[in-house]
Amino acid sequence: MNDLPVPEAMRIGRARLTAGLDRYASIDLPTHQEIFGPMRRMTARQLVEMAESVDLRGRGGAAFPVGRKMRAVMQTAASRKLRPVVLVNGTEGEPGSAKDKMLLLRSPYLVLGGALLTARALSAREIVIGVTGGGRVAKSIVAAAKAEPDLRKILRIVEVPDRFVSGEGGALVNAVNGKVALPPGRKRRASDMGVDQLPTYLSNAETFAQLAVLAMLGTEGYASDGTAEEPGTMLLTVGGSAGRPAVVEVPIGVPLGNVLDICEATAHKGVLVGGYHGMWLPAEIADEVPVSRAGLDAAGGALGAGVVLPLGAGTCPLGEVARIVRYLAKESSGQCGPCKLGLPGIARSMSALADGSGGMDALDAARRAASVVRGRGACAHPDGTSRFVLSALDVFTDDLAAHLFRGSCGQPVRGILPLSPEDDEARLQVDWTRCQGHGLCRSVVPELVQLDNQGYPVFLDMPVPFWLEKEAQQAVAMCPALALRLSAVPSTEAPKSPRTAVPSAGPRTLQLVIPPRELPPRFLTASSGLRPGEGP
Amino acid sequence: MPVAFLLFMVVAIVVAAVGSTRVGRVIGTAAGHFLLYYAGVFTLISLTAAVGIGLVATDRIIMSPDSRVTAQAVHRAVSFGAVSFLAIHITTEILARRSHAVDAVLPFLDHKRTFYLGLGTLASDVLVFIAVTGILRRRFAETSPPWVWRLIHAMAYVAWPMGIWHGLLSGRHSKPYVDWSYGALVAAVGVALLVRFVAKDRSGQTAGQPVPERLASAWPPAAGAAALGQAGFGTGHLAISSGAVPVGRPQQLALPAGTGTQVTANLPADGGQVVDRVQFGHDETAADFAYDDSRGQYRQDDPSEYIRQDDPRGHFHQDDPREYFHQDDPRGQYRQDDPRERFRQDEAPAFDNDSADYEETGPLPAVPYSRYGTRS
Repeated sequence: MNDLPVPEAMRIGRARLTAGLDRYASIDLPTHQEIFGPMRRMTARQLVEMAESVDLRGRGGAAFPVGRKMRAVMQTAASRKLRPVVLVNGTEGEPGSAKDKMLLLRSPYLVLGGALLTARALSAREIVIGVTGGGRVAKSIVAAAKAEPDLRKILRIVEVPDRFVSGEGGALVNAVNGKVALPPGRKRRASDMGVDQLPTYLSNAETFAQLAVLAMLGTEGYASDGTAEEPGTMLLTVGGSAGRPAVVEVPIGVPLGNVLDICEATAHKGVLVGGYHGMWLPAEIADEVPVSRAGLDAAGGALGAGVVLPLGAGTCPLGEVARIVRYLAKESSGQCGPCKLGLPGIARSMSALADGSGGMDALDAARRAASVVRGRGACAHPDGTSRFVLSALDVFTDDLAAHLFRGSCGQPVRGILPLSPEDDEARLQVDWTRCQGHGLCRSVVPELVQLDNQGYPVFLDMPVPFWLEKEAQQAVAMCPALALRLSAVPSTEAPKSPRTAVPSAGPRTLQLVIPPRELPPRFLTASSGLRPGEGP
Repeated sequence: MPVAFLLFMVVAIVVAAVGSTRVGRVIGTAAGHFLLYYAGVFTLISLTAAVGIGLVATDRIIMSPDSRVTAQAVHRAVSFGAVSFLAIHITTEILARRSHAVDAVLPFLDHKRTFYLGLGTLASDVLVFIAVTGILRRRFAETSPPWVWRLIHAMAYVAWPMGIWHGLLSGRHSKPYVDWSYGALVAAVGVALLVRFVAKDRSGQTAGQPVPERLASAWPPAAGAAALGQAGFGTGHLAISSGAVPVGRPQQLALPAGTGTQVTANLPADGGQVVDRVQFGHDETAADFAYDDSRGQYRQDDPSEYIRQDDPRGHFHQDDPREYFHQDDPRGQYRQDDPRERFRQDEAPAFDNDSADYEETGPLPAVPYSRYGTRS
């Protein structure tokens, strides 16, 4: 992920989080102070009251009230007589999301300032920032922290492996504590037992930026934008088939159509809102739905972490969905049975629907499989995947009919929906001239291999997840015909064009492009905390 | 891994401690004698088991894929045991000065019992080679044609009888029942091998599970009809449009088994070739067909094949009682999976393609987004 370009930033209405980004590629401390004024100090009570009066919610997807979370941390800290920890979740495991990376790369003092404000208010002993992004984001934060003496004392950066589920709060806490970055089996609120078993205030990076803005503007100033129920602005990451993918700051409540317009996107068949755990909205609804929790709720969707992925013409929607479901299945951490067996099952049915080999049976199987995994895992991964699949089946009815009755909609799968690159990962491959349909591979890795009517294997076109590597190797060793192998050959599918919110060429008014630079190799490893000053 | 190492160290220290005492030395000597006496026997027994289970693991006539996976795992475990016992056997023989270290590797050098001891050495060399290449099987699958590894592994069928020969004649005299048992086992493995190679000739053709289903899909008109049936077009529509007899439940109408009616009587003349020699009720064997079938139109393996000649739309799949349900079941409600076929028997006749029921399923229902208020 070293070559991830810095996301373009745009805005509708007044700039808050994106202030200054139309003039500066990245904002250093003097510039930050010039734009946002000096960093403030507040008591915990003031901060909580302000957050509650504007009903500030977490921006990581769950939309948990910030004030209530802060109160919980304060209570635990007071009753156990411990100083809490402030944990900034900047991991963004979602491939379509770039807002936190954009903030941390281009306007780091906003996030750090919000974290510092919170840490001072809660008299926290430490600020921990969890990041991904191949060292680049971490480097930006280290550079930023060097200029701010107060931060240097209490900041710790932890780099987390770039996986879908490692952005989950519990997984991040595990990673910071030196464990594997996977969601814990038992739910534990970070406010009770978080980093180093201390009460921990854990929020998404954008949430801290919002806190900083709130402290600067005051309650009334903050509420001057947005709707009465949900004041303020929010960051959306618009990607997919958008002509100008970007991170967009919008006042809460603008119609989604406006956002699509400025990103040169059309809601052709459907728009995915909320990322790969979100819901597809049909075009006619997507154009008018207000970007707010209430608006999306009414439309039957969810805002999630603000990922907006329109799917334009010229690509097969079912194929795109199947591709993402395979990715989600691979990204399962393999801890919970319903998820590690159920998600490959959904992926198999969706792939069969997309390539025309499935028919009604596959549609039925996909629906049932997607419904049965709900609520049956340590994290929300199976639930989110289920929501994603079921809404796709509801929205893309025309394409579904075409696939069912004609075998295909006639369009190629272009890979419009962004994925993290996976070309170097091993896949199970078969030499068809050798395979004799013994079927032992199915017995060993049913997750990846099923048999067709003739007894020959049908492979799920996805890399072998790390939790299936041993079984895959065993299948290779056990194949009686010596026909199986494990090799890192890219998918047979359409060209890979990982389209995150990347700027396209050419000068534009609101856009700022930092050219991708060559960067040194990763200088931080997962969960090895590095305090600024000790850096390379 | 560190745990295993720690465990090994603990065991080694305990053994060393016990071995240094007088009792320990007595135990050690007894264990040494025991191993000297029995390690070879254990090698031979586990080797025999490894060969037998390995052979069983390749079977696909009786064994299911699941049990074959288990059999392969057991084969590996037992083979590992055989190689371990072989190592103990060779070590104890050398320590007891009954043979020289060179004999462990190079055959036919010992001046006393040259031939039988040499057989054992030879067998052991081959076995170790097989074991090593067996562990590297994955590499072979990726780099060389399959026969290379197979040839190497099949050397076990040579090494194992040599091992038996060595075991029965090189050391102490064995009891007659032991000789007979090994003889019987060699014969049994020989027969099993024969079966394996004879059965293997057919394996390419019988890889598929249900033969009729396979043929139906290979045969375009039948496959097309089945696909249309699955896609929701009723048999009635299809049959009328193509000028054929609309058939509700084809098997009952067209196959009055045992009455001797000619098949061709019920079928359109343009559908295929008239095979007037074929009558129902006549007990055709595969050989009969082969005799009448110089061009190989009627496959020997599949007595239902001749029906297909007269049945361009694939209505009648004798071997597959489930198949005709596709015709009657455009929505796929009665699944093939239903093992007890309860639903099919009871409900299929009541299912009518032309009913209002069928019409309703045409367009898929619209998405219920009515809750969204600001629309319009």
